[in-house]
Amino acid sequence: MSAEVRATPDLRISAEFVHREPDLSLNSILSVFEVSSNQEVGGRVYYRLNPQAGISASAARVIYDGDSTWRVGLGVTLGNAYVGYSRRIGYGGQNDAFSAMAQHALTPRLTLKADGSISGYRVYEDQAARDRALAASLGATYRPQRKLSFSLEGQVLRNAYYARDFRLFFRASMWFFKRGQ
Amino acid sequence: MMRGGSWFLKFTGLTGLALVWAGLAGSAPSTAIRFNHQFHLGEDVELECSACHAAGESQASGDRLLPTMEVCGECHDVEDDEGCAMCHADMDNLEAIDVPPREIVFSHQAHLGYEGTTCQTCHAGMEKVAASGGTHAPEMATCMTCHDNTAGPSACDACHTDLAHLKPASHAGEWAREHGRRVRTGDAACATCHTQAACQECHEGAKLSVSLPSLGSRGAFAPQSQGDAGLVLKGAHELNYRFTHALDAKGKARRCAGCHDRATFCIACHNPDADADAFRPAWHNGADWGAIAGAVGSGGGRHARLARRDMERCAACHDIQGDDPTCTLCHMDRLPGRGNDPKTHGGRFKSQVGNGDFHDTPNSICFNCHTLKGPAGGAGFCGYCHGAK
Repeated sequence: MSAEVRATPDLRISAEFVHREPDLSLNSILSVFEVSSNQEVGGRVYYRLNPQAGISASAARVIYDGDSTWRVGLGVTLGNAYVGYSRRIGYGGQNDAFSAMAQHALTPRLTLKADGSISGYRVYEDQAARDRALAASLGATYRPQRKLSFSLEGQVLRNAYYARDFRLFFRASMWFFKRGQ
Repeated sequence: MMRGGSWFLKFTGLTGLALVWAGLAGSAPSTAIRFNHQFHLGEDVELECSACHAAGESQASGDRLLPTMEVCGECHDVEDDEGCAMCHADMDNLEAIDVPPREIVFSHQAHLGYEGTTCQTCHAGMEKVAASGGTHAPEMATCMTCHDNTAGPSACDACHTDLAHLKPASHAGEWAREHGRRVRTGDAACATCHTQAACQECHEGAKLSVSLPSLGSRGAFAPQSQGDAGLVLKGAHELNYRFTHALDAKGKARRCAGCHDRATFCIACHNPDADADAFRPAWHNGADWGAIAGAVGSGGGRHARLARRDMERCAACHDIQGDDPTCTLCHMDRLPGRGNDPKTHGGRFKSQVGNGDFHDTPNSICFNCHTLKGPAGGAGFCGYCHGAK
C-alpha cells in the first residue's frame, strides 16, 4: 500500500506500508513450520532543485517478530551524476555506505562512465568487527559512427575476501539495420 | 582487512570531482517574439505552415526553421519603425532567437515524404496555440506511434545520438528501487524506451552484479535499445553484492525470490552438505541455539525464535527440495499424539491446511514426518482425525 503526494511541482513525498508473509515454496519442508509475518513502514522525499539537480531522502522501518531494522538513505542527483549515502541498523544488519556514479559525453562520440561504492557493514549480530567493501568501475564507449561502438571498462573491487579483484572488459558492437520499403 | 581511511578519502574526493565534471546544464531558448499560431493558421489568414517554415527542405534536426523577418515582411510592414513592438516583445533585446542544439537525428524532408504525413501528424494542435514561446516539438510518445519497429525503427540510436544522457528526470535518485512500485501502479511508460528484454536483463536471475543500481542508466554500453545489456557482470546488483547481499535479504530491502529460485540458486554457495564446517555460520553455535535449549516444551531456543521471525533466512541454506534433513533430525512425528516431539506447526496450521493434499497425494510433504501408522502399528497420522483403525 503506498501513496504519493506532489506537494509542489518540485517536491514529491511518498509513503509506503508493506505486509509480508514469508515467501516459501509450498513443497518445502519449511512451509509447515510456525512463522510470522513482518511489516515495513517507509517514506521518501524527492526535491527537485532544478531540472538538472535533486535531492532525495528515504527511511524505512521493518518490524519483525521481536525485532526491527531501520534503513535510511540520502541522495543527490546532479545532471547525470549521483551520490548517495545509506545507513542500516537493527536486525537486518549494520551498514554505512557511500555510492556515486557519473556519466558524461566527453565528445559526441566518446562517453565516459565512472561509479563506485564503499561500505562498512556487519551482517551478523555476533560479528566482532565490521567488514569493508569497495567497488569501482571506469569505462568509456567510443562510437565512431552510429552503428558501431567500442566499449572498454575496468572494474575493481576489494572486500573482506579479496584484497583486490580487477577485471577489464572490452566489447565491440555493430548494428546491422536497413529500412524496408 | 582493508585500510578504510585512505580509500574513503580517495573515494569522496573522486566523487566530488565527478559531480563537478558531470554537472552541466542546458539553456532555454529565448522567446522575445509575440506570435499567434491560432490567428495565422485560422480562417482570418489561413496560412500554410510552409509559408513561414521551410521544413520541406530540411534534412537535419538542427536546421533553423524559424522564419526570417523577410518572410514576415511578405505580409507585415517590417520597415515601419513604429510597429516593431507588435511582434518584438522586448525592444531592448532584438537579437535573433536562439535555437538550441538538437541531438536528434531527424529529417523533416524525409518524414514529410511519407504518405499521409503532414506537419500536423507530429505538431498537432498548433492551430489552437495563441501564445508564442517555448518549444512545439512533439512528445516522444508521438514519435513512437510510428517508430514501433514496423513502420519505423524503435531503437534508441535510430534517432538519438547522445545515448549517455537519455535518462528521463523520473529516473533520478533511487529509481532502481522505486520503479517496481510505479510499474505495479501503471505510473510508468516503460515501453516508450524499453522492451521486455530490458526487464530481463535484471529480472531473470542469471546476472551476478552491477557497479551501482541507483541511476539505472546504462546508455553508454547500450548501442541499441534491444541490446540493452551492460558488460559482463553488469545487471541488477553492485559488484560486491555477492558478499553483502545478506544485508538486503535480512533487511527485506529486496525480494530475492522474485528473480532467484531459492532451491537452485542459493544452494550453489549455501550448501550445508558440501562442507558443513565451512558453511555453518558462527551464529548457529552456542548452548542457546537449539540442540540443548530446544528441548521439547522449551520453546525451541534461539533457532526457533529466529526461524519464526525470518524463515526465508533458513531457506537460503536448508530449502533444497527435501535433500536437506536438518529440520527433520528433530522435527519428526515419532510418537503420534503424545506430545513428545518438538513443536512444528503453528496454532492455525490445521485450519490453514484444510483437507490438505495428503488424502490424495502419496508424495505429500506431510509424509516427510508423519507415518500412517504409529510405532506399535496402531493409529498413526490418520488416527489424528479418524481414530484408531
